[in-house]
Amino acid sequence: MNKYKKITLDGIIFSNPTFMLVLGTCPTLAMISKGAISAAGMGLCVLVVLTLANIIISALRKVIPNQVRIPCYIVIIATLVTLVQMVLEKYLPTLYDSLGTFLALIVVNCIVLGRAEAFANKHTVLESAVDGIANGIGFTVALTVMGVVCELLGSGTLFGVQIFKTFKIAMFASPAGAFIVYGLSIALFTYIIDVFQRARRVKVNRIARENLLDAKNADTAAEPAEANV
Amino acid sequence: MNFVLLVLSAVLTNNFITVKTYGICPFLGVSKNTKSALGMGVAVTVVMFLATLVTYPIYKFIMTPLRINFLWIIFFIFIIAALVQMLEAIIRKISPSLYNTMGVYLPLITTNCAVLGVTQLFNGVTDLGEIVKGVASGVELNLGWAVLYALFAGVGFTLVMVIMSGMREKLNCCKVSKSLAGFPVSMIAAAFICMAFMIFAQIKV
Amino acid sequence: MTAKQFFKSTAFKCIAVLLSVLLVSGVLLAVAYGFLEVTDEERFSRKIGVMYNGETVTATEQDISGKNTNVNDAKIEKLWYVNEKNDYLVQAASKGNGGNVTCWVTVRMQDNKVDVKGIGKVLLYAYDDPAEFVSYIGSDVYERFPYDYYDGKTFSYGDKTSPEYINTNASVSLTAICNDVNASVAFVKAFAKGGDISDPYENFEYKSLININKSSWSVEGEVVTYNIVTKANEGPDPFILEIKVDGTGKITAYTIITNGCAEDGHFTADDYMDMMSTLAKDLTGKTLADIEGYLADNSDNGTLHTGATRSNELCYHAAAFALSNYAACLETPKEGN
Repeated sequence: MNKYKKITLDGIIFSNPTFMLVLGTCPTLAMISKGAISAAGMGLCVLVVLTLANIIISALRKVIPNQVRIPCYIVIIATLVTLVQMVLEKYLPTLYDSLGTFLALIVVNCIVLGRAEAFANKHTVLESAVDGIANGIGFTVALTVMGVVCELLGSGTLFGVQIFKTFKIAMFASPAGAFIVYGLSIALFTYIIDVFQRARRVKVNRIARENLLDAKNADTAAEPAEANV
Repeated sequence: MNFVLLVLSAVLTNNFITVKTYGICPFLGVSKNTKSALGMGVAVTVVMFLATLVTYPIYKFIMTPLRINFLWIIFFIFIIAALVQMLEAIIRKISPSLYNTMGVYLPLITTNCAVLGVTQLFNGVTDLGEIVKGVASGVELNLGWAVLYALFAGVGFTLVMVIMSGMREKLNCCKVSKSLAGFPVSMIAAAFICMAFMIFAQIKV
Repeated sequence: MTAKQFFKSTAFKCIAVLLSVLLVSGVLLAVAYGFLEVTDEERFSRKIGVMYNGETVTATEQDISGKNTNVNDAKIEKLWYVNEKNDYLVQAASKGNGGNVTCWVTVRMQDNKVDVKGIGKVLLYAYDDPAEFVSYIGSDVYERFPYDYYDGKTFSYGDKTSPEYINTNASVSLTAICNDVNASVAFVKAFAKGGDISDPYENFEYKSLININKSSWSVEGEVVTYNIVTKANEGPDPFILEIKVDGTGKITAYTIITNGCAEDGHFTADDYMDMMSTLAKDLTGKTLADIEGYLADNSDNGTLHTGATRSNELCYHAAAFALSNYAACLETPKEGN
């Protein structure tokens, strides 16, 4: 259970693909300036493609020879993206329209190919699936949060519901604002993680020091007994 | 006149990085100094040009009559990957020095959104006016226009890359607080470039 | 390499794996496409659904090939009957600023499917405007069409002389949209009854620059007194002239009631009025042949190109209209709108 917990935490927080690894930036910037719903939609699509791709590639990892692994991965991912595209166009046309050209560009999304290359071909199916879901959740949450910020500042709406009637800074509905929100989010996120890591390190050091002291005390307590013997 | 509109649209008003947010990964990753930015930009332009040259006829004359349009993602990404491989081999053979400076970027271009994005632009489009605003409807999109558009889109990409590298070189000299260093401050710089390019959206020819 | 060695080598394995992955993907996608294909009809019905706030409706295209599709200043391009809603959806286009302005107009029918009940949603479908003036027109203007409609109404929101003028900084485009809506209603009215739009002025000449709708003429004996309202002509606003023509084929009286010369960045209205040809200001005694000669004059500072060419054109056209349609107008007087 512990290793799954580690994979999940890594995917969502400590190696968050958007904030820590800064991968898959093209759809990020494009979707957050369009609004929270588009951002969440893109995140979910990437989650689906990433998880399925991880599962399939992990299942086939012993079969695919090393020399052709990249072309094979690309074909598998392209197939998945095409499937997702077809399903969306048929059943969720509004989401399909708002994602626009970036739905097809999930094929060249660095996150998907990166996780396949770095993780899926070395781990079991279940681990790869968990990794895919974790990274997907990390991506989706990151995108949604930034999308909410951009949408609130840019057009005063939240998931389409008008909150501010007159407060609008149009820049945030364009790539420029998206860049600013993304950059500041990265800074904030890395700062929080840094503080957290530092606090954890301090705690770990303190516990280690206490253990060392206890061990020393036990030794000195044992010595006189030995000396007596 | 249509040509002027096409150039302006591809380079400025619909710039691939600042307006369409296509080639962001190399934009943030490779623009640390001007030389590498220029190299990457030129490499991407060449690949975009060749990719459109190959994929447009295949889509129009092979895939559409056979009604396998829905397989375009697989076909296109395959063609792009193959093109990049071939280009790398050719450059390595022709000019090893060039390969040493620029060859490192070539495998990265396969996953560049800009290349797949520009080939996708022409899917099923029959009228140039659908891509270039201001062109009166009725100008048929053919291979020539498509390839020209891809070429100048690459030029626009290179332009913004070089601008960004200039800004980043300047930023290297400044002291930046620890959490803002690296990506955040580059992104804020990029935001200013985007704001500058928003002016071009107002161009009326 | 022997055959057996080849089949065991990595090269073969690579190719085999790659090809099989491609094959499986291709087959999978082809199967999926069979289920998930979005046909053109579905795409179209989604587009129409926009007119009804996302509701799914079906529409059958009506055959208008035999009908007169040039209604007033607009051309009816397509007509659909929306089955579930008992509406007609019309695609009409008319000339706006720099090109065609195409609109989708929903015309609501009464239960008897023959009489028009009102207008539903009006949507801007396409436009050629390179300067995009038409985008200045807000959605609140489009929403007025259903609200303001009554039987016999012709919309003129873009007409500066009309009491219902709405200032949008895009008057030409707004006029085009109004033309589309008016033409759609008129066409559907005739179509639903199985008939055709009849243009009583179909055979009139020199009507391209004349607003026949607003013009009028009365008859006294052999003299037809015209009150001609022209259209605007890309620079000047509409002229209003009073012209009398008698049986001799000459103009017996000619007065410019309203001079439409307008200021543009170069000259003031008065400048243009001075630059107008002296002939255009008074065409008494001229015949149709004279007027046609003036219109054909391409020389600089002649009778047409005097620096106020478009104003001259309007006056000459008004006179030519009066003279060439004399016989028809003599028979049927017309009251203005």
